[in-house]
Order: sequence, then C-alpha cells, then structure tokens
Amino acid sequence: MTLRLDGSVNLGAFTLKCEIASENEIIAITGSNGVGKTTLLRVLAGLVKLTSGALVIDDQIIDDAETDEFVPAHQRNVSMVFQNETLLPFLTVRDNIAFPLRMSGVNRNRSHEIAQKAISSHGISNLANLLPRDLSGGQSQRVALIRAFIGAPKIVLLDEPLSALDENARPELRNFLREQLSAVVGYKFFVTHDRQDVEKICDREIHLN
Amino acid sequence: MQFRRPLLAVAVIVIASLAGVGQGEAAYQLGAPEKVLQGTITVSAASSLSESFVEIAKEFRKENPKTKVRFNFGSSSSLVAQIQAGAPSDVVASADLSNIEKLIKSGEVTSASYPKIFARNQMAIAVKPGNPLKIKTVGDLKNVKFLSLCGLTVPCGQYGATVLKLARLNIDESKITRAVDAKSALNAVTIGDADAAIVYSTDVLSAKKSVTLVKIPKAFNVDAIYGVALLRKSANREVAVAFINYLVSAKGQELLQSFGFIKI
Amino acid sequence: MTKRRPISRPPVFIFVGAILGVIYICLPLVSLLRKISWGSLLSQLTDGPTLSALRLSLVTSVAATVLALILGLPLAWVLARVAFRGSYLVRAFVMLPMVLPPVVGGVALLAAYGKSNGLLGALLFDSFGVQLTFSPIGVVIAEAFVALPFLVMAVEGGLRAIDSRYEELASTMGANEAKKFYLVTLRLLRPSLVAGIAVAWARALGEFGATITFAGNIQGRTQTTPLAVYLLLESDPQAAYSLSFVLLVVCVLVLISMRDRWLGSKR
Repeated sequence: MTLRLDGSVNLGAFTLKCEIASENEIIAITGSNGVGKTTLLRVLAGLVKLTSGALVIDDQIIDDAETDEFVPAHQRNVSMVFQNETLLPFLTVRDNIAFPLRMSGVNRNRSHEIAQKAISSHGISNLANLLPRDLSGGQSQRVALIRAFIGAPKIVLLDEPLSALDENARPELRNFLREQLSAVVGYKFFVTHDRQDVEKICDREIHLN
Repeated sequence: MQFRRPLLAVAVIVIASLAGVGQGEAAYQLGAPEKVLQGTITVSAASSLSESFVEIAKEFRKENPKTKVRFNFGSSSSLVAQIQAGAPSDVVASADLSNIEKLIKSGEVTSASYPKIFARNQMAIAVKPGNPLKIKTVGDLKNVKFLSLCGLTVPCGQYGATVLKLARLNIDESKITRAVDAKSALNAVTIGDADAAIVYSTDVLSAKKSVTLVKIPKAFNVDAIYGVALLRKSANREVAVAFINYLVSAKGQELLQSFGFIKI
Repeated sequence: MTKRRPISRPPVFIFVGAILGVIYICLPLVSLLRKISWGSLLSQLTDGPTLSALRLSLVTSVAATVLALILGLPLAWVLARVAFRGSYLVRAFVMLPMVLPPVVGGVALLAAYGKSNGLLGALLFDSFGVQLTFSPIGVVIAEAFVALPFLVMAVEGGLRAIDSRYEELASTMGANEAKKFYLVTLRLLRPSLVAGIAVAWARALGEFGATITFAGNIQGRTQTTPLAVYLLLESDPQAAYSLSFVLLVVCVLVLISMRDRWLGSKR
C-alpha cells in the first residue's frame, strides 16, 4: 500500500515540485507561507492537475500528466478540511455532516442517524440545527473535523485545521485528531505551523521550501 | 411728383409698423415694401402628410428664407390629444375635419375661418410587390390571412372601416392587425408579414416599389377631407398663417397633387 | 433588536439627491393614481378586450421568461465560467436588446423570423407553413428577445460571485458534476436567479415596440396589455389609466416580494 507523488504543478505564479512516498502514516507538511503546501493538498485531492509527473496510489494511476489520465475529486475517496469555507452555508450542521454520506449513496434517514450519533458523541447537539453563519470559527472547524471522518475516507487532507481555535481548545481536538487519524487506514496529510501538532500527532514531517 | 416717393415710403412704414403692433415676432426691414417673415413654427400634421409637407416646407422656405417649419407627425387623433394637453404648436393639419371640430370645441382653434380644407385623399389597398395573392378588388380581401388597418379611433382606421362596410365585407377581428397611424399600418406590409393594408392612396404611392397598389373603386371608396387650422396659442401667427395660405395657394396645391392628393 | 448608531453620516447633498431621485420616480406614478376613476375601475377591467389583453400578457410574459431561462442559463454559465477568445464580444451582443430601441429590435426580429423576408422565417414558412409573426408565439419571441439580456446579466453576475471553494468542497465530499450543480451551485445562485427571473419577467410584461412591430396588434391574439393601453389612450383614456394601474400594481407587488434579495446578498 503506497502513495507515490513525483511531479510538478505549474500555477503560473510558481511551480511546486515534489517527490513523496507514503504508506499508512500521518505526515505533517510544514514550510513558510506561499511555498505551496495548500497546492500540494489540492493536487492530492484532485482539485488541481499535475503539469508533469504522476500520482500513483495503491498501484492505480490517479493523475498522470503524460497520458492525461485523471481521477476527478469526487471519485477519490478523499476528505478535506480547508482553512475556511469548510461548511456549506445553506445546510444545517447535521446536514453538513451527513453530506458525504448522502453523496456516497446512503439514504437520508440513515445518514442523518449516523450524523446525529457523531454530533451527540462530541457533545455539540446544541449546534445540530444551526446554520454555519450562526457558528463561531472554532465551532465551524469542529463540525468540519467531525464531518471529515464520517465517511471512512482513505485520504485525509487537513489544512491548518486547528489554527482558528484558541490555545486551550486545541489539546482536546489534538487528541481527537490523533485518534481518528490513527484509525484511518490510508494516507493522511496535515498542513500545520504548530510544532505541537507535528510532535503530538504526526509520524513524519515533510518540509517544503 | 418728386416728393411723392418719400411720402409713400413713410406711409408704408407707418402702416406696416401699426399693423405689426401686438403680433409677436414678425420683423420688418426699414424701407422695404414687403414684410419679411421670420421665425420658427411647429406644424402638427397627420402622418399621411409626412412626405408632401416636408417638400412643401422646403419650397415655403425658399420663398421665406428666414422662416423654419418644424413638424410633428402622428395620427390626427393623437395630435389633437397632444394639443389639448398643452403641446406647443402653431398649425394643425388633420386627415379629417372632425378632429379639428374637437379642437374648436375645446377652444384651441378659433372657428372664425377654420378649418380650411386643403386636400382630399382616398383609400387604396397596398399589397406585397407583384401582388402575389392576386387581389383585384376589396372583396378579395376576405381570402387574406392578415389585414393591416389603423386603429378605429384614428381617421385612417375609420375610413378603412367605411370602405369595408361599403363593400359589405366583414373581416374577423382576429385577422386584423391594427396600427397606431397610417404609416405603421403600411409598414406591416412593406417590412412585416401582413398580406394587405388599407391606407391612404398617397401613402401607397410614396412607398413606391416596396408595395403594389390595388385601386378601390369609387363606389366603395371614401373622400378623406383634410383640414388645416391656426392654433389660438400660436407664438408666431404671421408665419403660421403664411404657411396655411401657402398650402391652399396654387403652388401648394400643385405640390400636394404631385404626391397623389386630390384637388379640393 | 437594537438600532445601530452610525459612525458617520453622508454629506447633505447626498440626502438631497436621494430625495430628489425618489420624487422624480414616485411623482408620475402617484399622479397616475389620481387619474383613475375608482368607481368604474372594475367594469373597465372586466371588459372583454381588456380581459383578453390581460390574459394574453400573463401567458406570454411567463412563456417568454421560461424561454429566456432555457436560453439564458447556459449562456450565462458559459460567459461566467468558460474562458474563450471573444467572450467580451458575445457578451456585448447578448446585451444589445437591452440598449436597442425596442422597435428596432422588432425590425431585426422581422428580418430574421418574418415569413416574407426573414432569414429563417421564410424557410420555416416555405418548408413547414409555420408563420411566427401575428401570433401569440410571435409575442413570446419578441418579449423573450428583450428580456433575455436581463436574465443573463443577473445570472452571470451571480455565478461569478459564487465562492468556488464551496463547489470544490462538494467535489471532495463526493459530489459529481451534476450533483454539484443542482445541490450546491444552483442553491448558491438562487438569489441572483430569482432576481434575474423577476426583472426579465417584468421587462417582458411591459414590452411594446418589438411586440407591435413583430407580432402586430391583433385583439385577442397579439394585443398585450401595453398595446391595449396605447390604443385605449385615444378612445377611452379612463380605461387606459385603469389598465396602466393594473400593470403598475403587478410590478410593484413583484418587486416588493423580492425585497432586498436582488441586491445579491445572502440575506
């Protein structure tokens, strides 16, 4: 079981070149701002195509610049948490969490059930019927993180998920993340500036420059 | 005899000046034997007069270079409505006398010597060039898919209705497209998809090659009598009256007839 | 709800200008109300030709709006999201009916769809016997022609304003292109879409010049409410005012029901 990315992305403004080989591990991606950490995540998610090279996961070609093979984002079993705009603004918290389940074919009632279970076990039942605009930044991130693990994803991409929360809220969520990420059998990439995240959660660090 | 000339000149000047008192913008050249008209007038005229009046205004201007005639063309009934609502105008020329009667009733025209009849017109049928539907008489119009007429409250619409009545032809309203004035009614045939229109023969003649004219026999035809009147609120009576007189003069009549109007 | 105290007030001349603007628009509309004889309003409106004009206007304006949607949504999509050379030219052409005098629009429609000389119209007539002019379909064509630019403008603006990250988010959550469009894009587009539809419909309802030129003025077939008003002005001004009043009320109701939504904000 391997993920191999060896290629580059030319976004006009800059070019990201990297070579990553990963197995079942939690990888921290660090580096200064603008170096391309988010772009790397977007390549893995399928939101950006490689301009050269290839991305191969479990011996399946996911993205190949030479042959123009490309598996689109919705067909990759990927789950992504952005820095902001992480929730669909017109759905309630419960519907947001249930969304990935609905997309994978689970019926309405069952997906609501599963979502409600996750909501209760995290003690945010009071938020279940609220819309994202009524939540604080930290609350939105919590909901997004709950949603991230609801569908049993194989690739988990986190882009500074805890930076919107204040210091004392982080340890609890760090535990949550470590638990959930360890339970995922797949590829986990965690962009962060926080050394605590790197040390407490991740197995390995890739520093981009 | 030698002192008579200057005396005559002085007399003319005095009389001319007296006659000019209270008349507004007419101006006089000192020592000139005739007064020179100047100023601008607005003439509200039926749309069927568009081409002929523009020509007449040109000729009028040649004889009175310091004058200018501005036109406001439309259906006679809409012109009346505008004048009654206060639109500034000096002369009104209508395609029937009843509209001028309306203005006399409402006081915009003083009935002393108006309306003056200055032209007569008749109706004709306009069809697509080459007369593809082979329309020879009014009766043939019953086979037409869409007939273009003016609205019933407009003179040319009333004349059209009279023609159909005289020919004992009843055409269903669902086949009639009604235009706001004669020109638009004709346009429905020239650029649109109407098969025929009943409008003034002068309009059909002006359209030249873009339509073919089918005559309406006297028995079914109407006499459209055109009247012209001076508006009481005219700001330049002199020029307005001169224009009206030009219309009924030999020259004016000749020009009108060259456009297809009938002798009064 | 507590009222917020403004930090600063706009200068006086802005208030004056705004008040003048309101008066400029409202005065003619309010003056129109004065001219109506309320007693005979109902009888004037239920008169045969008037009723058929109202009914025709309702049916054709809705049909025209639907046509504008069918053609305008894809067009707005392409203009907003597909980069191609000359897109600015296409956009300029699509906006033309908005700035063109309506009668000119009517003449142009004749040149294309007229049965006698129309580029396409003559073909339609000769091959299938189909005549678009002087028919209610012709009215719909004329109304849609003038209404389409308004719809395209509103929808293109709305599409451009959508944060693409929401659509990307949906993709990462497993939504394919179709689901993404229906569940996310359309939902985010809703305020602009509603505004575009309302404005397009209002424009179609009030259309006169193109309609009378292309579809003619046949009572019961193509005489829409604006055409009826125009003819009534000469024969029965009172009835004309009453009919204008109906148009006015309908448009005001539509605009009020949209409230602020057509400013494009997510209220």
